[in-house]
Amino acid sequence: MAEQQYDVIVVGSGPGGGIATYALATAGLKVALVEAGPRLKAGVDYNGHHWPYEYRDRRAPNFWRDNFLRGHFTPVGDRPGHGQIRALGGRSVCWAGHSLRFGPKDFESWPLSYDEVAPYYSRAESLMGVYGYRDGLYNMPDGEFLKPVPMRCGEQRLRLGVERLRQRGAKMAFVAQRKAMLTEPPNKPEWKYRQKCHYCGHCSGCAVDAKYTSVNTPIPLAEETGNLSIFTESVATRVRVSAPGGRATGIEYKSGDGAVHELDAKAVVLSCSAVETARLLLISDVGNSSGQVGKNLTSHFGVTVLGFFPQILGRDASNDDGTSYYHSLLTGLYWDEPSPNFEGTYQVQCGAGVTSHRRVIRSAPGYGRSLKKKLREWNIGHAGMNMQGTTLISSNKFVDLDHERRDAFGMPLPRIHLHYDDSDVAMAQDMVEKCEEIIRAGDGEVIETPGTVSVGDLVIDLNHWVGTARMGTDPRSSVVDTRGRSHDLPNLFVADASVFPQYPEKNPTLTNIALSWRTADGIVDRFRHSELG
Amino acid sequence: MERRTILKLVAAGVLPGSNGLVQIACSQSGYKAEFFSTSELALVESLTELILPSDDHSPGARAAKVSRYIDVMVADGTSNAQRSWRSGLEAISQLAKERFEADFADCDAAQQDKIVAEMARNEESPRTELEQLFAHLKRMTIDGYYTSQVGIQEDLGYKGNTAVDEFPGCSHEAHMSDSE
Repeated sequence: MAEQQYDVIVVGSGPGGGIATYALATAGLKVALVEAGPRLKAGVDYNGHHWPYEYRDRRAPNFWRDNFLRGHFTPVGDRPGHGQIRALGGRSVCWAGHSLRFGPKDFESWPLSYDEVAPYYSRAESLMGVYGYRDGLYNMPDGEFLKPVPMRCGEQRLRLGVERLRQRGAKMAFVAQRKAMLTEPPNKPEWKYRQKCHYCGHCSGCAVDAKYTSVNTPIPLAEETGNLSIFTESVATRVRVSAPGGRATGIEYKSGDGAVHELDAKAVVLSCSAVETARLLLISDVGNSSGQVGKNLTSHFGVTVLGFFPQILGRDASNDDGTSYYHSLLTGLYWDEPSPNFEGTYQVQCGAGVTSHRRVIRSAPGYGRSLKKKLREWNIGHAGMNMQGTTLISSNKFVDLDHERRDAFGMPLPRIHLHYDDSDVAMAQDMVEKCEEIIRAGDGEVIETPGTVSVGDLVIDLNHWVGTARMGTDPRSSVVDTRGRSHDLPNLFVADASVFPQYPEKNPTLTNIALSWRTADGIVDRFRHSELG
Repeated sequence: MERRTILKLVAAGVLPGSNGLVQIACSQSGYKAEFFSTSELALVESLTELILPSDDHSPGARAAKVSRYIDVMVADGTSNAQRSWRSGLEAISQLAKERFEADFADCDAAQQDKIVAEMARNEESPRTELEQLFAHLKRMTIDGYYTSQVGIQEDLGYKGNTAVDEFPGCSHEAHMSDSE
């Protein structure tokens, strides 16, 4: 029996579900937010300020590592990864905060234009608090920025290398990162649960809520409206439908004790992440008349190249923590002229400096004084370049159900199929060569590189999956419309990165938040026009 | 473990004796090994110091008590790994006896270096038992050293893991431009 009727049920409280909940509840709709995990408290349930030597195994507690649900899927092919944080806020709790707008060029292959999304980017940045420099890059537009955070010494050497190559005609840019962290005092009412960043570098489990999460901004603000009921430790097991081809009537969920519950609502929003949203749609057998649910899967992937710059050894080495490792970004590659060797493009996240909790370099040849000196110099004088490219969307990558393996709630596990295409390997090879060139142009020495790339070198980003419920105008080839609404059920919506129809090299979360906010506003409009009751 | 206790145990034939023992008893005073025997721990300590020695910049693996970290990690490890360590350390002792007719601890610096050089010669693709032990030993020495106070603060000069008001970033003209 259904417990109570809500206007909207939101399943999942990550970046998409958090912002949708906020937009719906502040518009006056009664919202039930259903989250598989518990509610954690920053600084209590996780706190990064430790030293490794305080612990027997030298592994300081790490929220990300210790709470990540990594085995909750069946891998097929080239080492796909998938992770979840089952907690209120989902992966917004442990994300790195990188907030880059997709640009006009990126939206050319979408059924939406940049100009349609831009106002939501502005609203998202203003609510989240995003720092950055105004770089004036046309395809990574500037936003509503807080005071920026500068690069470190090693990153300046990379920037110098890029500048020299640009003078020789190379098309690329090297800029500082943009992240959703408060670099200014929390002087907006929306930031009352947050604090200013203190640059300790433990961002993936920010203990003071300087980094934006669903739990420190949209969810508590939604709670203040009195319109929000939160169901934690409640695992959605099915979308309920009135009749085939009818409407969504709500969801079924299981609580920790295994008891089955039902919730009724006039509309249902799925925000479970690309893999889990596809899984829930497939298990429920809804919204898939196109046959596209779980298809068009793509993520970011990459390899790493390290450089060493003897020029910076004499610096006052000290505190490079900042907002964790990546303070800079190589971007602007292949925006105008696509590569003949691969489809799409990549960016390269760059970092530098010594940290206690992320020891970057721990291998060098030999032993004795020369080894010790080399490790010291390499750690102090290195810069790291981590490629983030988009895997080619192809029939080699998709999510389906594993009917052989079920989770603790009796639901089939998702199966992730990842087989890299030739284009992917060619892209990584291009990145390796480009990074080596930049390091040398900055008068550095390449100290770690895959050299010739093979599939075995490629590392998938297990947090960046998108595309499994792609948006489009044609119901035969897409799962949702441009406002995230199912083509099949008029009151079923998807508000997460599953809806991305194409994927640029840029990090997904800011766009997920902007689009999910836009989708939620669309739902509010439909309630106002009595389309949803 | 008190020095006196160790000597008593040796006298009772519980632990193998070695000339290095007195020196070891000093540097490991107060530490009761969880997996290694006293002589094994002493050997591991000497090897770690050979891999990351004290120099004019910073103290080495001995001062950072890396051997204790390895002892704990091996104690917590699999029985297979424990067997490899025990047998590998024994093989080093044998090698010292074969080459120099002495315990490793009694070999002079040049002799000890010869033994480590032999262990380290196929670092890229270790094949023999000694080469494989070296790979483990080196990895754990580096891990232990750079997670110790000595490694992090004294060797790398790291001053972070703390709250600061602003992040200064790089403002060195020489790092940003052609001038050096």
